[in-house]
Amino acid sequence: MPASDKFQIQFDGEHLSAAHGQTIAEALLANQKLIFRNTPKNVSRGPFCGMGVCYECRMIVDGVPNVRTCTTKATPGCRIEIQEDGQIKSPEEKP
Amino acid sequence: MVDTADVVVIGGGVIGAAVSYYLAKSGLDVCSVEKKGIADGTSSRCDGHIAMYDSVPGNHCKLSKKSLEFFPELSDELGVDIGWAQDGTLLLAESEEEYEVLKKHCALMVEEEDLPYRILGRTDIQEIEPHVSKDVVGGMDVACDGTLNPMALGQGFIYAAQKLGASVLAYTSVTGIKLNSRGQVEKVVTDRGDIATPKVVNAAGVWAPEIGRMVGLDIPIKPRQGHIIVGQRTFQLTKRPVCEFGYIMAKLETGGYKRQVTAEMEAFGVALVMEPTEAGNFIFGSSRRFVGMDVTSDNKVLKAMAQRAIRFFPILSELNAIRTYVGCRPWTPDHSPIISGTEIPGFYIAAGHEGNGIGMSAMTGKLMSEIICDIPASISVESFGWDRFSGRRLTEKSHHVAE
Amino acid sequence: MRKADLVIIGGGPAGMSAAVEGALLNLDVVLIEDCSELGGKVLKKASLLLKAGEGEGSEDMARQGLHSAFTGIADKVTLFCNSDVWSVSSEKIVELYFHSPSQNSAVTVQAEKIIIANGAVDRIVPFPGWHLPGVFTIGGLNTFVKRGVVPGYNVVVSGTGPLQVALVYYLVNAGVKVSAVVDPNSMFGMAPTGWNLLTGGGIDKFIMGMKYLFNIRKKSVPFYYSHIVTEVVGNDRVEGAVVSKVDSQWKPIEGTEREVKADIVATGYNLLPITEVARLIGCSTCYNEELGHLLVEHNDTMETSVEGVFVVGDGAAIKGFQAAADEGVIAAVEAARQLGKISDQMAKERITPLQRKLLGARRIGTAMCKSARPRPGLLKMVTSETVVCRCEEVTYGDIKSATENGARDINDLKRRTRLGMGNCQGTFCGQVANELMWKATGKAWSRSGFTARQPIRPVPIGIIAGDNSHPELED
Repeated sequence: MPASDKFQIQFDGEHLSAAHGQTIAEALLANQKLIFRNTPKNVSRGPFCGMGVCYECRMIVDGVPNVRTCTTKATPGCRIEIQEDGQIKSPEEKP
Repeated sequence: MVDTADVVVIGGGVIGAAVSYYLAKSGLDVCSVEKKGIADGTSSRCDGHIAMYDSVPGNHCKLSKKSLEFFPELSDELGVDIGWAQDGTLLLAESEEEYEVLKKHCALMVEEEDLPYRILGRTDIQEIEPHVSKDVVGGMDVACDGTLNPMALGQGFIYAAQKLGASVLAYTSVTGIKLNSRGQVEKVVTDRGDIATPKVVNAAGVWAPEIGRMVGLDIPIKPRQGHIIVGQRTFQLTKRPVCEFGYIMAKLETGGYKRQVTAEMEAFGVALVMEPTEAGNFIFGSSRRFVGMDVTSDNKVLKAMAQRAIRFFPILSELNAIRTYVGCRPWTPDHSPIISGTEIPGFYIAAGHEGNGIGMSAMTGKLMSEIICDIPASISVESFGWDRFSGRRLTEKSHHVAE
Repeated sequence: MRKADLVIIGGGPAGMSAAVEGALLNLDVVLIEDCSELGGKVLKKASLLLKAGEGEGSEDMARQGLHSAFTGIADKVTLFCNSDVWSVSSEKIVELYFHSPSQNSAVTVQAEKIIIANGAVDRIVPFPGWHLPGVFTIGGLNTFVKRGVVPGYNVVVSGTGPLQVALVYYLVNAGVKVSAVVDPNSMFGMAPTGWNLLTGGGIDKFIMGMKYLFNIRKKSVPFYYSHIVTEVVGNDRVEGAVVSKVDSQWKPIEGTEREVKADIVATGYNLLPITEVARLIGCSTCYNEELGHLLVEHNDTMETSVEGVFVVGDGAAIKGFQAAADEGVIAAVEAARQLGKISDQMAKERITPLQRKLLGARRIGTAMCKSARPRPGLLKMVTSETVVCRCEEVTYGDIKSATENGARDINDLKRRTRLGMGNCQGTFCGQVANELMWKATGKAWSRSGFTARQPIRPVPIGIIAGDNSHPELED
């Protein structure tokens, strides 16, 4: 693959490599990242159905919660955070 | 299958469940009959908001207020967690004109009913609920209001009634009520057999007229439909229920002040009610209209509701809805419930609470048990009497079950 | 409001074929797809990342054929990708939510005819640990693998159905270590399916299946027939899997458990049709005893009980992409005939041979579904602590106490436990919750689906408010 097709994304402060056309879920999984979300009962979850139906892969993307990462394309520099379902911060509370 | 009872309660919603519980507590042999599951109808399609704020001074208000005293203890008493939380209600006034009416209302309620109401200004509101639109002029804090899980409440009453010896027949339809030669209640006929009983309580909510017709009474309860939208779990949008003051006008149809809303909002009786839920979602409404027993979600109504909610919470526009539901409230012409005996000996009615059934359930159950056991009522039941409608007899008695 | 002769919901093989046919018959077609590209789960255009090969033989040809046919008519079709249909009324008003990084907008289309082609989801049976990160549906993992993404090093594939074999084939071709392929069917369990393939005109599928199996065998992947993964162990992700032998009713046999190395587990029992849209419109459904799930009723031109509403592809019944494409054509031709764009005679000439061709495919589909259908014994692996509704974290223990307190159907169960109230709206737990209520009580009640209501998918409240109409579609 040509290097120009690769770019960086941020995942909980870490820089990961993603490829053009990849969804966020694909990019994270390709980097062996499996935990996408923690439920209100604090149990970890990751992608399950891979087709946008189960909503298990929801994450905070560029500050927006509840983004389905298996249907959302990764973009250069996008900030991805593990979603803590029980304690999502409102936009005002963000630094 | 039970074949006799001291009293049969028809309807397994929160009202019927509460009536069953308090009757069983009085030592009567109670049989509760429900055509579907417990808390299946209106009780499972409401918002679980226990609200004082939508009353005006009078008996209706006293009934709500008295009911409110039950909830803090009820989880322990019933042995079921009903999810009671007393976080109050925040009422919003969207214009200076509305704010003036609200201030008068607040003063009146504090003076006449001694309620813990408090007027708030624009900055107070932004401080306690920062997602409220910045252009909201003022509001009122109703500290005594609370929320609970209505399904748990209904099931809790039934569970506790059963422990006291009541029998519960769910998924059982009443098909007729037989009177004896003196015109007194003699038995209840169901699709699973007959129950001999001298007393029947019609607690069938929006279906109460159907049961009334079985003994020739024309009960003027009409289904008043309401929609609710459920929001996706996200950050905490509000800490407490938030409603627009205009809601009271939409509900009570009181004149005098007119909101600036679209024709659709007016036609569908749309007014903002926003509540956080125990599960971390938020739900919002509301709509009020008469379309029979239709409980399908209507996009025209959802659209007007969404627009109205966004007007008070602009951030909602970006948040997701995941579900909607629709129920029918049992409306009466004077907005007061019927908690009363009737001219048919042994036939009682506990129905017609419109949007306040959950809140008034406990007190309604208690009052009905006092009426049936013929002991002095805890509060005046005069304005809940059937005699305000008692001229309403069906002309033909063909609805009686034939011998 | 935009008007259209034909609105097609779903851009997989069935929906694309219907769109091609509709456009050729001069219908004004709107095609709606929730993903960013057409093709559905099977025939999506392969990505550059794909190392595993684009699939084999007939599948590859079908992919090329379908996409080039669509390109030929693309300018005649209004296409909405990245668009979730969130409401369809019985008056055939379709509400969709178009989303892209730069724009979210609401689109409303008044359709004369609707073709529902929204496909299927993996059929699952819960078991301890299936909620852990690293457990995927077979279809889900396949989607990632076909895109060149393999999230682990030791994969266990557990379940039934043709997708299982396909997944293992893709995995071994991608050079991934498959620690175990686990199937509760006996080694001869697939024999009736093979027979049906050979005699039902499915010889190409038979050859493809044999080729897959041959390739897998060559890589000496361990197969466990008459076994199933009964537990996934791990703290916050998959760290291993427990495999148990099962009896003829697929009940795990105690004492036969063994641990298998795994960091990824794929599970599934073939597919279940997605029926929400049809049920929301008010199309009649029935529970099919043979297949063990709900089906939308339709006639031989794929029309449902609601006039002018058609259901095609795996959303009608599971039978694969070739048959799905044929059904799409039949529905589009019938829609055109009803709209007076084509004579009765011409419609008949186009439809009849396809109907004949479909007979064999449907027989094969039914046979495959039957052999893949979870048998009752499997539910023994569900413990009180097992999560059943993933969204609301409702366990089998919660279901048991609800039934003990009188819950009689899944809508009653939903009210008591929140099962099915979450984001997926019961898509994965609804079917199996019926079976688990039977297990809890030992009583056979009539099975039901959750009441269908809009929004079918989560949708921004601003979209419901209609405050962001798509500019290109304003009248």
